[in-house]
Amino acid sequence: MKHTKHIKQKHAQLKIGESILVLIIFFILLTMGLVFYAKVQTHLTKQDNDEFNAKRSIDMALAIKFLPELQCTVQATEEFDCIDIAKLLIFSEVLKNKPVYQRYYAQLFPNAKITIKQAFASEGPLISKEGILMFDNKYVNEEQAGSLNILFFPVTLYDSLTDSNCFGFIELEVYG
Amino acid sequence: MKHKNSKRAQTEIMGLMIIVVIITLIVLFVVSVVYFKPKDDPLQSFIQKDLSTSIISAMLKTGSGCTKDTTMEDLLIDMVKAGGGSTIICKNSEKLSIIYKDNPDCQSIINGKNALDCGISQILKPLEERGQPYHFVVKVQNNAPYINQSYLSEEFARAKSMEVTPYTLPIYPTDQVLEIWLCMGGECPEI
Repeated sequence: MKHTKHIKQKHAQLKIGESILVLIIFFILLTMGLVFYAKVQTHLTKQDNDEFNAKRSIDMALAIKFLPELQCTVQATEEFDCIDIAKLLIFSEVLKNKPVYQRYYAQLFPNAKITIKQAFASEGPLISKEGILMFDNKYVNEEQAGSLNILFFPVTLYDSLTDSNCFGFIELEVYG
Repeated sequence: MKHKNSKRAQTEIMGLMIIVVIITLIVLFVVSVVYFKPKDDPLQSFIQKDLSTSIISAMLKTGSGCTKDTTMEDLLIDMVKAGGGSTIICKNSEKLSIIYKDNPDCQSIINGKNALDCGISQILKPLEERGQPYHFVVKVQNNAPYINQSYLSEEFARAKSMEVTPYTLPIYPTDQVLEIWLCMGGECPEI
């Protein structure tokens, strides 16, 4: 009688041990699955974020190139990839003193810094070496930014006073 | 009898485990291929395509500084017509030498070809400053190039740029066509 009870007890212990083992394996598998899922999601989110920032940078680049405030016009026809230096100088002056305009352009180019520089001018430099800072709408530091895309686009800089074209570029820094 | 049954059950469990492991490996492989495959970077392809054409079109419109009304395009066409030299004598070239005194290509400018070399090196300088490799070639169809210059850092020494199409300029009154290649990211593929 005692022997049968002992055998039954051992049998029950074995079953409990088996159940515990199954549960442990189940939770290990569940944890591994969750870790894998989290990694995939993080990777996908980062990829989406990078793609969004890349598209935002391209949109901004195209917007700057076609800003009517700066584009050269010859007999009421807009010139492609050309910035009028006279317009640029006045525009940057106006922007410095008018917070309303600053807010408007901060919405157009959020978290970005745009500078226009000159590379080659046969008539002498019309812009200082550091270039003309058009907008500085960044609201995060370089260290805090998740991503930073620096693009530069060549443009013709037209000087209406000497009627000459020089070579310059737009430097666009987009913070993510 | 009991021992035989238990052995058979164990073999079946082993088989089941192997199937489960194989299915898991297949699922992991599919997931990694679908989710972790590198996507095309829209920004890089935009830069490569846009930058090359924009630089050349802006370059051609730029005043050369050789004479008051000659552009870089005029100097390029003149260079081809003169077979690699120049027929234009620069009048106010001292100005260029003074402005770009740090650039050896801009010293002692006598003719259009010298002014052209100065302009090109000055225009492509920002690319070098940013460590952006490039290969710039000016040629007429199947002839040897008139200008062939490149900046390839060690990292990109053997890199090839992505497919590019040249900027073309007809040379009137001849039927020749001037090809201007600016390949970004590495050497131009077979020209």
